Amino acid sequence: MTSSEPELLDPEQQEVVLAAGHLHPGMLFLRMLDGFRQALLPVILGIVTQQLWLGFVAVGFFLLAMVYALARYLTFQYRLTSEELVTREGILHRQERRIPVNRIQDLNFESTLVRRMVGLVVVSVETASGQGSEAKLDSLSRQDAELLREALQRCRSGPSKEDLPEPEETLLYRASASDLTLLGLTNNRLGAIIFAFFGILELADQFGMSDRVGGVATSLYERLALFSPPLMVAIFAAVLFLVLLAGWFLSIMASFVMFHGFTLTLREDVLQRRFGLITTRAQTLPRKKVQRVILGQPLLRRLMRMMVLRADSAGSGMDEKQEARGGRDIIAPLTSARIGESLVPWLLPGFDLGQFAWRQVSPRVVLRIFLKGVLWCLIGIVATAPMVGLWSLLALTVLPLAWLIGFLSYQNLAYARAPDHFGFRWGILGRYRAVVPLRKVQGAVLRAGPLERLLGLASLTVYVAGGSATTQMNLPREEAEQLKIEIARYAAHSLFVW
Amino acid sequence: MHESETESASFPDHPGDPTGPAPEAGPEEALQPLQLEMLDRRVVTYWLISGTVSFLILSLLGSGAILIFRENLPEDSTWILVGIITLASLFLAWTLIAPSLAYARWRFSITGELLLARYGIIFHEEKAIPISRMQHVDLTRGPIERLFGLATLVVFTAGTEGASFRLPGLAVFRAEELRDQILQARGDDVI
Repeated sequence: MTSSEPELLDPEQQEVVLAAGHLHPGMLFLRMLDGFRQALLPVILGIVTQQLWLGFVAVGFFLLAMVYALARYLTFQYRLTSEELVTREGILHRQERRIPVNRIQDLNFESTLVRRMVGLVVVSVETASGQGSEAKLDSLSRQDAELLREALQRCRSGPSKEDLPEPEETLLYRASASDLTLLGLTNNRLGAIIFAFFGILELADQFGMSDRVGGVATSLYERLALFSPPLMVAIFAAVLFLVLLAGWFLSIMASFVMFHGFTLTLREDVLQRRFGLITTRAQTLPRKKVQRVILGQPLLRRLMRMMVLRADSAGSGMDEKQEARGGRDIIAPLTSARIGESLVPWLLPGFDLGQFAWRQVSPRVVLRIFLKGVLWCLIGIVATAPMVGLWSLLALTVLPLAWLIGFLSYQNLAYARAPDHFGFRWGILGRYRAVVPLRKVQGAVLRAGPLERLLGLASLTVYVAGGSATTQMNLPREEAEQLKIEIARYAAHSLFVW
Repeated sequence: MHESETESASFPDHPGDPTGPAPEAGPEEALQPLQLEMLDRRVVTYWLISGTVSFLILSLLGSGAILIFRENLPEDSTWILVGIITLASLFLAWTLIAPSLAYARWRFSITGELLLARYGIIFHEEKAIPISRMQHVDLTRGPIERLFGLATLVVFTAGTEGASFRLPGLAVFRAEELRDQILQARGDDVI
């Protein structure tokens, strides 16, 4: 033991430790709250059912959890050297994790309401592994967390800059209250409300209250039947309006809770985002790790000349749901199209959208989508004819719609090539644009199904290191082939940085 | 049609950025790589065998299910049986034909900078992967592949989607050559 330890420690001692520390004792308090919450149900159950042992079990588990938390608090330590971030924990099962500094993508801060009252943040270390956060420091005091981040940024930008004055932080964008209100207004939460309504019905059914609910419904219907038809329509419209209003209210609330006080700043080469009302988040995104920028304008927002700006980084996109909830990839939740476009050069230095001369794809796309419609139409007619006879010809009404979709898609489908970037544009009623820095490309694929080959079309998919792939459909075959080679060769000849 | 062709001519092959890492050779050269290679001939037999094995397993399971649930079948179940048998024979026909078609379609080429591949019978795919982006290269050999002296080359790039690419049906020595070629061409410029 004694002979092996110095060997292990020696090389470490020579390294410069930039930041080190333990968890904040406040985490014990948090764990205690967690423990209480978990113990509450069994204890209540025990009291209600007069089963004393349930209470004992709960207390036992609570004590166990507290011992575990205490052990974690006492043993957990982290240390940042110029080379790596080391975390260490455990008494019996000692665990050490080393993350090389140049693999760290982000240090994300997150603090829930309770944590903020105690002055704590959860620091999660994001790497490009595509597995989510590599390590979680739960929780540090805010000063310690800031210190850690500063130290990480210092050793990223090289030790020579240490003597330079504090780098300036430029404010790029701040979400205004009207932005967030519009975000809520244009978010469709109606589905959520209907879902919740059915959820409540289902719950009522579980507890055997469906009869009562049904009774209420019938009596309501009987009462409504007393009114004259126009009045009934009016009542129905009013109820619908109220539901809509409630939906809007809820989604405006949600957008404020999520994005309150959203600011985007740039410090040296690192983008920083701070936002949140109850759970506050502070996230960093080094500019050179941006893999793709997406400017999204669904129909309503397009009509209002607003847009959502997002950026993928390596390691993002592994869990889209979680990401959407955490707002990980959001650069601007909702802003005017003009401001959104002017932010792009800040994300991709040396590029602005003016460099793109959008080229529409082949007009044969309209034919392709129409033919697809014809195909589905035929299948529909053949499948339903034995049952409904001539009525199955109703499927033909889909055809104008297919043509319309084709036409609208054609209006939006386009691609563009700038010296170091590639652009995709797509959408039917809305319009979406994606910009991919060619340096980040991992591969390019051309695909052509039978129908596409018949029409001389092909789709081109460009893979980057993070997030999902970007696909542009309905390019003329030769153009797609040439682009594929161009893009792949550009990537082959450029240095890839995570 | 004509409009798009003229536009494509005016579209720059390479952007006028002398400092950028744009490749020197023209795109035409890359579109027709010098040595387009086919897979090893033995892969047809390998695909035939593995396809037939999975067909047999599936049809065993299927007929087992029919035998178990034959009581529950409706009175006039001939049509259902005819349908199932037709589908199964179509599937069998495809299992028998597909390997030769796939073999005939498969082409690949490793130039100094790119791995190019084209394949797919009904849905054609053409893939271009920059060799400098490859993170690591694997050789895998399943039991039947080993029987035929075949290997599959698997290359991995960074990223979550489309991050791996399989080049099947290579003679073992050729697969090893290709791997070494890739590793050499890749050099050290990757983090």
